[in-house]
Amino acid sequence: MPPETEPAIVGIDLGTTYSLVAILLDGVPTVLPNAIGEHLTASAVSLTDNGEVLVGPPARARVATHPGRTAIAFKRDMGSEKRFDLGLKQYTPVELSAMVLKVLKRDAEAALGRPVHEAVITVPAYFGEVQRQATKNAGEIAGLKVERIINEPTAAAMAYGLHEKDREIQAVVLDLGGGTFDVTVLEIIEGVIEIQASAGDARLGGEDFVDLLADHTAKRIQEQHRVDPRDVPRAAARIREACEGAKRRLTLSPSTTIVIPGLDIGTARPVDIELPLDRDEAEVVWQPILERLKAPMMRALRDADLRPEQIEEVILVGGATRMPCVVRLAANVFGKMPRRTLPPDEAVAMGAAVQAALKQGDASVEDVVVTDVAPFTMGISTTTTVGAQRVEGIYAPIIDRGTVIPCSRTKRFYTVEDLQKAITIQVYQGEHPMCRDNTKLGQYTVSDLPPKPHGEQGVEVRFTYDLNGLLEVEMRVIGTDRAEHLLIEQAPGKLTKVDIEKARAEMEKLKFHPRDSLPNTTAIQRAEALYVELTGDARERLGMALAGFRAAIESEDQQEIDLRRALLNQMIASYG
Amino acid sequence: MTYAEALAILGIDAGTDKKSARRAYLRLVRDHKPEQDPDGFQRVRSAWELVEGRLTASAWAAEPVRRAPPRAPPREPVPVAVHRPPVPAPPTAPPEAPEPPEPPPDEVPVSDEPAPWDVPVPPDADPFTLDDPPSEVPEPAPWDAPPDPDPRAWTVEPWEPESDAPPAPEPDVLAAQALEAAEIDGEIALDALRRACEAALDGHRPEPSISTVLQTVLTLHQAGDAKTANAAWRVASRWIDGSGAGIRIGNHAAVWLALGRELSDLPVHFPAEVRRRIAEAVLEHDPAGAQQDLLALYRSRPHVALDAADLLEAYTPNLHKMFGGFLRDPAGNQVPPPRTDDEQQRGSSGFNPTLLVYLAIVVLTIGLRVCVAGNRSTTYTPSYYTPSPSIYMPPPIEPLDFDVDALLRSYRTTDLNLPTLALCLEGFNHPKEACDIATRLREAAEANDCETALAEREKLLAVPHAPPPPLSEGSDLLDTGAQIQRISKAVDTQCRAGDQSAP
Repeated sequence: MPPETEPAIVGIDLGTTYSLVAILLDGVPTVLPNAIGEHLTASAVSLTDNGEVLVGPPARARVATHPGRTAIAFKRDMGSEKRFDLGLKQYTPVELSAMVLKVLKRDAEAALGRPVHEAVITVPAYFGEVQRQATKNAGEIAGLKVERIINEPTAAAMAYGLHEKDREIQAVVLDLGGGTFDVTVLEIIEGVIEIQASAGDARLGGEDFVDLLADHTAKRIQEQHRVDPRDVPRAAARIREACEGAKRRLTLSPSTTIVIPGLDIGTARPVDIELPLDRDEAEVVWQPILERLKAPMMRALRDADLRPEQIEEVILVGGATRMPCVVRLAANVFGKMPRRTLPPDEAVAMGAAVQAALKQGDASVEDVVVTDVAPFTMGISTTTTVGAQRVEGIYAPIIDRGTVIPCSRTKRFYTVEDLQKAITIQVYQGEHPMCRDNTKLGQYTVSDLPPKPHGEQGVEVRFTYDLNGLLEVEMRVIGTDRAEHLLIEQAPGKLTKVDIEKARAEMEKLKFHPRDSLPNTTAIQRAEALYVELTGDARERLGMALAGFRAAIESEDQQEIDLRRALLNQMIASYG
Repeated sequence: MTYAEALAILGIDAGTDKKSARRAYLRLVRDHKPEQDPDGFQRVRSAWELVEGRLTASAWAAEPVRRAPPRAPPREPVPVAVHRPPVPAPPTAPPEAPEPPEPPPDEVPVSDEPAPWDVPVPPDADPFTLDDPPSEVPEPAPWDAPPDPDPRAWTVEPWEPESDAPPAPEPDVLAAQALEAAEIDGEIALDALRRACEAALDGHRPEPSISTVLQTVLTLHQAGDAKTANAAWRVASRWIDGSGAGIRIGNHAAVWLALGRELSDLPVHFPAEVRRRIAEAVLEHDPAGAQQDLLALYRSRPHVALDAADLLEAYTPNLHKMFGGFLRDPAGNQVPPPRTDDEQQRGSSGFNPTLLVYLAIVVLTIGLRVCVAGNRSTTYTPSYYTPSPSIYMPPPIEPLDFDVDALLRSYRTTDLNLPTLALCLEGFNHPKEACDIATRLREAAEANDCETALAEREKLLAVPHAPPPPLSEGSDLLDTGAQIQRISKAVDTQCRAGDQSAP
């Protein structure tokens, strides 16, 4: 175990809805609390009226009240150039994630009492190279060195395998988080955790359940009031929040009511919405998503060459797996009851902590051995002649997805023209048969080839993919001693050092809300969000408590502040 | 790396089986961890991949039979078919069939079901490659159930050299062809449908779908060709009744099947346009539109409509219920009204009695339609809401974090001892009169007092209990009567089966 003064490598689960930081302490993966003492930090960024950036629970509480200044669920667009509105400025998902990571870093340092310079960040198994690079960039902008990106289900598998090392078992980990769904098939045998296959859907998660429910509710409101509430952004946000709560309540009880008082949907007066919803109706609404859950499971099984009956244990990870319909579906597919041996929200972060410790060479995880697989296929673009027709841009895979990494594969490619002087090796990543549908990673031209008729001069291409996701391409001209190298570091989306420095400087300029006052701010934001949703007596009481709390803050009497904040939080918990 | 080097790295010898070789590889991985020693790990891994590839390939070569493709088109059965047991047998071809000397039969199945993603390996594929064989048959969707094991799959069909005649198409292809032809030429459709049903009855798979067959028959009806349509229905019903396919469909589809059946029961001289309209209605699952059209027919040609209505009443009660009312005067007047078109040609001015009749009919129709259609509630149904969900959800499973032992204790009666019985009675609170008795029973149980327990039990059995609480409250799924019975049985077992002792 590293001594107390050494900088620590932490494991970060940067999720669509919630993020966590964890580290291995005394051989136990421990999740570090944030500024308000909670383990889960909402992946949300909001701008306050005085231009401060709020990250985490207070920002999440502002989604319904200030939808135009708050950004959530930006992980889904990681790697793309979609911009999110934060007040008057716009930010890319990389920048928003960097803000979240910066706050996580700050909280981790406060919790550990020593500086944190490096982290292992998890991504969904289905993330492509662009998105992985974007995550690394986000970490670097936040001031963290990110050398290792691991897959979320692999992390969950490691957290699970840490306790099961002595057994031999064939298991499947289903990770249904806020925005992504990942399936990993693994086997623990001879003390080695062998990841056998990975599949998933990068746009399927708990948020989609909420979206469908919100659509359904909006349509019901439209039936009643003849106005589409989704036209008013504030109303849409409130409906969504109410549906999120309803989704959670339906996990615990078979029926619930969606209550939204005073909803302004563009009619003359605000309306009070009170719609009953029971689990059966919700499950029918969710049916399309539940169907989509099956495909990645079957694909992963197929990649691992297994049948559902051969799986001995099904582990559920991720908040959305609490829903009874998801549990039933998993039980239906695999024919056995799934288990939730790990805390569903924290498992991935715990696995990331294990990986961080492994990377550091921590003695307490000395006997943990994990073999991982390549998450996607990598190959090059080739040309084929079919009869008299020449087809270009055909994908020739060199490393298949599911190959155990680190790995090296070689293939030979030949010239297509007589006396061809050069061959351009264009490196792609993806699963589609035509290169135009895959992602280009880079290219290199091998020139000055010996002149020969077509098909007789070749280049041997060797791909080496390591654990850090670095692809190295070695090209050897057959018949000569020449060899060329290309390191795919300059992947698309990778910002140069200059860009990163610039982005980091930009972020320094942003004023982040001071950490010490975060508990107060969170309490106020949550109380305000709840105030909008309540009516009658409860609302009055909450209003009075909120006013009292604000007065206490003005008075700067710490004891008074703490007392009133505790009271306010208790009220929020009981009414919310 | 040669094979010998690979074996040396793994520390095994050439005769080792795959499982032990894998374990040897994994033990080595523990010493050369990918994190710490990537090069060493890569060497070990390459060695293992070489050995694994060779062992898998030799397992393939040693296998005498190959797995059957999941959806191979059925060939014409050879006059003599040999039935083999599913155990891998030495590859002897049946002596009767003409066989070429070389390739072994490549369509012989094994006992276990083919996995849904198994694809056939073409006979000339190199078994030593590790690449996936190219897929020749379309894979079934991953969420379909694997095809049922066909009892006929045990038949060994010898490999024939390519013959000129194409293999007989499957019944469902034939049925689809029949449906396509139904709109164009009834005879072709009838022939195709007959072939499809006979093939299905002979046991060829995959079976045609009932909806395709029904649609074919209905389209023939819609084309107006009654004889062909009825003949088609006879053929189809022979298959449906013979193969039990009619049992396997849901209630929804069964209704339409019954209507199709009835339509074909109508005699040939049933008016063609009414037949057409009804067939269209059944095809599109939309009787309301047809009802309106039939009403219009009644107004324009009442004699035709009344004939049709009488025939419906005589032959097809269900169709009569649906459409008969609209073919007759909704007001119930059996006498056909005077020809309205003649009167309208004469011109009308001022008060027109036929116009009044027309209005009355329209108003009554609307009223009838509203009553018949039922009370539509104003709740919204999402567009993807189907009455019967297409995926099967098993019954709800208990939430995972509950105290299994407490639950079992409270519901299992065979091993209840009195203190546990007391625990069980803690949750018992209906009906009110029984509560006191239950309390006393509980106290007696806690005190291990058998006489009192028995006495209270008698009183408990005498209490008239309320109907079971509604299930939606979620707490207690058993009704009170069952609970009381259970408790009384428990007391019985404990107190009467000798002296019980507290555990």
